[in-house]
Amino acid sequence: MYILSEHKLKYLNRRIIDIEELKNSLSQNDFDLPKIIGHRLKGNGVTFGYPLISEIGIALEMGAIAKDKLKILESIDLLIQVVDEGLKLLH
Amino acid sequence: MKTKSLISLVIIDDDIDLLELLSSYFRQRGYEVNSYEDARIALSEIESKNVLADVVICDLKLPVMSGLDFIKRIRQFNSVLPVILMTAEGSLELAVESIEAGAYDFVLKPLHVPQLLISVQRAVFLNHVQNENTNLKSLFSDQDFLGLKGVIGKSAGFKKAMELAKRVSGSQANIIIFGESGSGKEVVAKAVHDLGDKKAGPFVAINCSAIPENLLESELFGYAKGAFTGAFGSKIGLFEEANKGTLFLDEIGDLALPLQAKLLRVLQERKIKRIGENQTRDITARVICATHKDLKKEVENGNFREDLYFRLNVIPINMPPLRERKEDILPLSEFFLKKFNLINNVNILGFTKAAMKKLEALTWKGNVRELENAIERAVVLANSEYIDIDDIPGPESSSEESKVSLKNGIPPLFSINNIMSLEDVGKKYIEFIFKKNGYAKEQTAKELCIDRKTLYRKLKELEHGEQPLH
Repeated sequence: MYILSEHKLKYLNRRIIDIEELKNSLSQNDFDLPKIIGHRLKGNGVTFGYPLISEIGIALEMGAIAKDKLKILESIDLLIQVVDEGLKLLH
Repeated sequence: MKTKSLISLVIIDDDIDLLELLSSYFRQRGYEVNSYEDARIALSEIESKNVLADVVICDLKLPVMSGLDFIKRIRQFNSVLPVILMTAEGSLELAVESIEAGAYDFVLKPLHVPQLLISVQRAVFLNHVQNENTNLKSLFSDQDFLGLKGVIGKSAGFKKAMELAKRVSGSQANIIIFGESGSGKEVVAKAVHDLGDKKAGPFVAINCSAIPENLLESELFGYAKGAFTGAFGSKIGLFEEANKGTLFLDEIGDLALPLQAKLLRVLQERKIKRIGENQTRDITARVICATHKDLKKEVENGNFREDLYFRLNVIPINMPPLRERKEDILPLSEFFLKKFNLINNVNILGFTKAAMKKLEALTWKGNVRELENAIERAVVLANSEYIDIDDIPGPESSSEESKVSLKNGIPPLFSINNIMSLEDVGKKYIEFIFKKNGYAKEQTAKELCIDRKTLYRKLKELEHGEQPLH
């Protein structure tokens, strides 16, 4: 495997920050940030060994483009679960 | 063999996770990585040559300057640097647009990093080949003279010789080139060939002093089957091989008298006969001769035919020795540096000022050939990016006489003007080593590989013969 645990840990910890920012932006009806974050997660989830995060990224980006708050919220919840499980496995 | 220590990689992505991951991945594999979140900063660093990139990996979708804009800008000053674009937007149209803009490869996100590594390795190879190609082209185009490739020199003596070569290239008059060994006589002959109407034909060169007389005759004239023992088939000679071109006879002054007569006949009649044949054959090759000898003196001494001398000496061209055209030393050195950088796959950037001064100060008895050998040696042995004074052979190799001397007043051991007997050479050598070692007997005996008793005896003999040694 070419992804070290330290990189994975850093990656998941940064998603916790993403989750906070996503929640904040949604409370302010800001759809730009979910689009940016969604696009980024779409591109890097699989690379770090988290294909589900890439799926969430796609959903987030599409939800942001459609300004679909519900879809974004569902994606945030799912992201919280995946990050939690990932961190448990690493510790 | 020295090579560039690390392959330099520039990675541009606003995704800090990927940026860190890729940087770490490539550093672990021996790459030098410079990473940027902003393509404009990367562009500025590459353009100002603060970063010497071999390959760039760039994300397509970046906030300020996109990957496509980055490529377009970089192509304005660097047409060969491979750029690999990464994108999460996978469409064929975008891939085509990227390649058209000058991208080397187009990689889809999510990244499979080992696949990206393969793309980088291929791009590094491409970059290496392109650089090598550029260097080769520049080697032969930087310093052209009279539009001739690899003809280097700017001294008055060199220019005079080459201008004369140009003027006579269109004529059919016989040309003889005079010059010391290694001074570039063949370069002049080649220039006459390349600038004249025979340039489409072959340029055939032979050193008359390098081949025994009987072999040289068959080389020049060819032979028929059965002409002599071992002539199992017929062979065309160099006069015929150079048909419609130029035959360059170097060191003609060393040609044996019988062959001189045959050469004279060929030059007069423009016909040859292969050895063992009666049939004559017309020759159309232009014959250019060269020598390091003073042919006039050779004629006076009876070593060279006077009629051949007059036949050849229609247009004499003198190529001065390198010590008389100092201005050529540095351009030639630069040329040889590029040449041997390529051959040895190293990247020596140039010469230090001290090294340049030394190059110009040496007498280069072996002329351009000696200079070329010295630069080759320096390129191979240099320890830094610049050839320094110590990398260039000392003055003893280029001095007027080959001699061994010490600074403390010991006379030269070998001198052309003072031929010693073998016994005297032995004595002088012991004296030389003894003085060099500060009169330490043990060290001297050790260095001379003789026991101390023998040394004492030898020293006593020396003291009896001459003044005491200490």
